[in-house]
Amino acid sequence: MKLEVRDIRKSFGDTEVLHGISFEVENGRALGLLGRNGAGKTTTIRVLMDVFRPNAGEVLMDGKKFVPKDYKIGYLPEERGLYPKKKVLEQMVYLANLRGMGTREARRSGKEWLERLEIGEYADRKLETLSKGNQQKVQLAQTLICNPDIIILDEPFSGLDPVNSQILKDVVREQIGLSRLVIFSSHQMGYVEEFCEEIAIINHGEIVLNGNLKQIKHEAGQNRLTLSAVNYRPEALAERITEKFAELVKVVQVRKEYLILEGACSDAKKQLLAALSQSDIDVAQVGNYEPSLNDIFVAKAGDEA
Amino acid sequence: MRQFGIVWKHEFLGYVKTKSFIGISLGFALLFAVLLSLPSFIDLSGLIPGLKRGEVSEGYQAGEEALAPLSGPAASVAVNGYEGTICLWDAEEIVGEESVKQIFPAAQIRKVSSEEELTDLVEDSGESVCGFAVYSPTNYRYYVKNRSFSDSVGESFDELLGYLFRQSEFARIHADGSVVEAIYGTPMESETVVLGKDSVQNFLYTYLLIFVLYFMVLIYGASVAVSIAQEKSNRAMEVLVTSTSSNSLIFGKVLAGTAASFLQTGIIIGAALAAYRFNREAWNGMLDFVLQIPAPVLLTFAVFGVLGYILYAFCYGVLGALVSKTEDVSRTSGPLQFLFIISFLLTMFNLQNSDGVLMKVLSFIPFTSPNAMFARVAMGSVAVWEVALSLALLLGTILVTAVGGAKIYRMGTLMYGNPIKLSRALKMSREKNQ
Repeated sequence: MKLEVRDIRKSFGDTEVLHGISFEVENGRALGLLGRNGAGKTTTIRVLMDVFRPNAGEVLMDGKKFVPKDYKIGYLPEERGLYPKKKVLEQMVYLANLRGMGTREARRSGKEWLERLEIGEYADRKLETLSKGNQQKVQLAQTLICNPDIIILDEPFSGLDPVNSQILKDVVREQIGLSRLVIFSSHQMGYVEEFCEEIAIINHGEIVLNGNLKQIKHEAGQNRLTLSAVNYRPEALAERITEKFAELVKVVQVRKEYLILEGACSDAKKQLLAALSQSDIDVAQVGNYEPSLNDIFVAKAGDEA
Repeated sequence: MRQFGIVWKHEFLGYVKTKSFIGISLGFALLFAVLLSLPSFIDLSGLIPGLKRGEVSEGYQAGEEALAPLSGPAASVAVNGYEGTICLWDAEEIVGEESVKQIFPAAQIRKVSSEEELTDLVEDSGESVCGFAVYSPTNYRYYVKNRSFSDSVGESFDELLGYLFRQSEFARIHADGSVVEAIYGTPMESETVVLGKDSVQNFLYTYLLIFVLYFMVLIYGASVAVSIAQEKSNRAMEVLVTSTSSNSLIFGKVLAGTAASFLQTGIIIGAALAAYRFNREAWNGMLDFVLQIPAPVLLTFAVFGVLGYILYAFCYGVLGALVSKTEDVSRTSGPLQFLFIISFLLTMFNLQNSDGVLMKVLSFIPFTSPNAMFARVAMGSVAVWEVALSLALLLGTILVTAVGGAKIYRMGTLMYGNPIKLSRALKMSREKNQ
């Protein structure tokens, strides 16, 4: 399965909130949909699920118009939503029924997921009596109860302790391994880096970066170096480098333990190493710089941060 | 359609499985069944005049009281059962203590010597003392400390004085007063055969059924709005709208609320009607005017009641989608409640003039026709085409409201924050691509 979102535009009244969103995702390869609060992620997801109709653009599945009701979709919204006063399994079965699953099958699958997420004993308890973390797990169980072809997880890790986060990580990995089409939206970049091969960053309703994460990291780190010294703290080292080697490299950032440098030419690294050996700088570590997703995100979407 | 069925079932069971629904439905049904069965097991004729076991009359004749087989005033004036004290200042002996005693046999008669004494006694002695100051055969003053709604002492005294005045006038013109009184008092033997509708008899159950619809719309209609607002408030809507169509949701909710409210009403009214039917003989037919509801009237109530309820429930559903918190529901739904209350009051005030112009107009306006047309069918004369036209207008309005409501619902369900104004919602729902 290959889902393509093409040039989606969406307006509410006179305000256009999505200005031509495009990305694509294939089954078995999770897409990280990133963006700051209010960037347009949730609106994009709602357009994708036909809750909102776009003013322009289209959503395709394997080249044909995507009709959400033809697929089993598991959606975990950022705004967690279930019925606090209803029993856990009862409401899971109801939502599974709405997504086309029979009652008996839904009960069986629901119980399995509750057991898998270690909350099986709460099946007949009212949701409001569960802790926040367990309610979060119920929400995940309802997302997966109908064995969805497409899984959309919006901030799935918020509210989970490390143990529960590990359980969820295992589940997400398993679903990706089962060749599901996974769209993963989160502000916790570590999780995105862990699961997603592809990313799309939305900022102010526009895609500002889109593609393979490794490739993006590689391109973002091209011609950049990291450098630390035994005899200089990073701030002092930055001054020294600027003073002595300005024609070779430029200090881009001073980190706690090292500097990020940008070469002035393609073989700057080689020239810098040679120059350093002739200087008083006792090099502790030098290497190619590969930015974290967090760095990339801040660079692309942190314009007003 | 399948998803609509799932939503409907979920919502319907959500209503009928609650303890309050079961408790109220069965509690009231049982209460009516027991109360209406009592005369079959216990002799209540002492408590309820008109109950005479073993005899079925064609109907209880309200207000019928036998004249006392006495001569004098009691032969013409109905006896009053007042048990307090009647103070009488009658300096000219126009009425006389004996005459008063005949009409008020259970009362204590106390003659006083002045009007001041009378007023002091009435003012100081409390509720069970009243008094009359008689100035002439046609002029008196009635003193009472606190006049109750059911006070009939003054009325009986008025009749007595009138009787005495007539007697004295008959004597003055040398006519035999007892003969004239007998002529005037001769009861007419008559029987009323109603070939069409008996508004007098239909009045009470029409009144009650309109009240029933009033409570159903206000209580259950509001619960539809609350249910939708709750789903927005607890964000269940986020999952719901991505699991099924908004049409299935709003139609399922509204029609489930309709079914649940009519089920509950049906259980309670059905229990009362069935219990009365079984025990009608023991009741001597005296509750026919409330519980012997003709099938066509019940059918009209069912049709216009259900459709009227659905119309208002869709409106409530839309209003529920416009707010994000349940506490905002009552504020937002105020104008709709006001509209229904106006419809209710206009119908109630014109119930005895059900063929009037106003009722005719109201019976064609969809937001008032559920009450007004039902009242006209139950109590007035309505042509079949009028019912059909009213029904068509009501159905058409429901359709437009449902389609428009589903659009607004779809747009409103995922908009959080302050309540959305209906005018803005209507404008947005008309925009393409919402």
